[in-house]
Amino acid sequence: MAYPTATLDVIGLWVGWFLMLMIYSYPLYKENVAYRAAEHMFIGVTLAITIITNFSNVMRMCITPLTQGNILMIVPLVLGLLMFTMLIPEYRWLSRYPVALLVGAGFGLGIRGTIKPNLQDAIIDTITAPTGGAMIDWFNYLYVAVGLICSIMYFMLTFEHSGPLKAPTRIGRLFIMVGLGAYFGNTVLFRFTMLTGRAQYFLQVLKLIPM
Amino acid sequence: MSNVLKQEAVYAVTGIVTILMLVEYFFFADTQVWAETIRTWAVIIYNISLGLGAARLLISHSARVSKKGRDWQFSGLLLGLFAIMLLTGFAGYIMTGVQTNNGIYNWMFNYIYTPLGATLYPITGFYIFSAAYRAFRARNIDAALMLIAGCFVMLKNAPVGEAIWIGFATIGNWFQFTGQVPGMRTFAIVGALGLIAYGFRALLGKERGFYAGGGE
Repeated sequence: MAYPTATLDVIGLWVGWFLMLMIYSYPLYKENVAYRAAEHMFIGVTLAITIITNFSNVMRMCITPLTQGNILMIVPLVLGLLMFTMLIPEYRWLSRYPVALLVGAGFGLGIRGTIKPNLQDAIIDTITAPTGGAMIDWFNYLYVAVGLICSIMYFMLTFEHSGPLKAPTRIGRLFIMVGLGAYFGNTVLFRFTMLTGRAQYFLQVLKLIPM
Repeated sequence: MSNVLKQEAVYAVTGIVTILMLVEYFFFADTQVWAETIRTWAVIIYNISLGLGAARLLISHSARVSKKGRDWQFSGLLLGLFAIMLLTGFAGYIMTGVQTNNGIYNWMFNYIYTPLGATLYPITGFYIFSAAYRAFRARNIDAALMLIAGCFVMLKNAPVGEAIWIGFATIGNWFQFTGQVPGMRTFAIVGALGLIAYGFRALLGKERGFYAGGGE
């Protein structure tokens, strides 16, 4: 993307630049009026975008089919509107029905979506021995197998971690720390990469580096 | 009767919908039409129900402005931008069927919403360093292992790591693709078992915290 030439776009670029500074005034200085103003602007704009997007979704998925004769679509429309009874204390219980449907669908999809990848595949991947004969493959295989068993034992909270459980749970904790360290390392870099992107934008608007 | 409508019937809806989703996936694919309908309904209800959050937010900020409460000017700014964005978006939607067909809406989207969104999330970058400093201190063997794994992964991903020593990439790769597997796989398995247990509790009507009033 080249540096914009249209006046409105140039103004927009500078507006974005100042908004960025307003937000970063919080971590770089302290909470102040500029930060709060930018924060409220973001909430207002995001709220409007969410409402318009959801409205167009409801129109496309519900109202249009309903006007075309799909009478069944009256059900989600009524259930959705029942959600607003949460604002009226005496009829609040009616909002439980749409919540019940959402929760039921969420649990159903969640459970069926978690059994294969998170349980079945995880166990199969752990117990499948390496096909190659390289020492490092066998080391990795044993590392993951022993690590997984010990780590799961660490989460067995119905038994006290003492006696025969003491050593494996302690080892399991160490495996978990390695996992968390690697995960946290990735997170630190990811966040910093995003911050670098903002620094790049800062310099681009000032024309110190090309856009 | 009212108790049945307020409680038992609600739990029954949760149970029936959950069972339908599971039955469709694991046992009878013939129920797909029903399950698909329920899923579409759920998406529509979800889209409508987000309006409830919006309504509550607007009520709260409008009240603050009308009573000239604490920081009412910020609430006014929020409401003003909200109104402009909403009206321009709806104008575009009504005229062309697409909200982005409006110059003001697009300008605000590109130069207010996008930069603010792109700025607010990386704000954590400022804090993650101090968090990393606190977490990555070798006070005991647990913290030392975390420090070693974290440093190798960071040095493997950052270009400077490989410039210092080529081995950082090899060891960092091991930590990223093998070293962290037992821990992360444990979280996946334990989380899955937790979700299943929680789901069955909800199915049996024993978990009611998410209903308005906690199901009481």
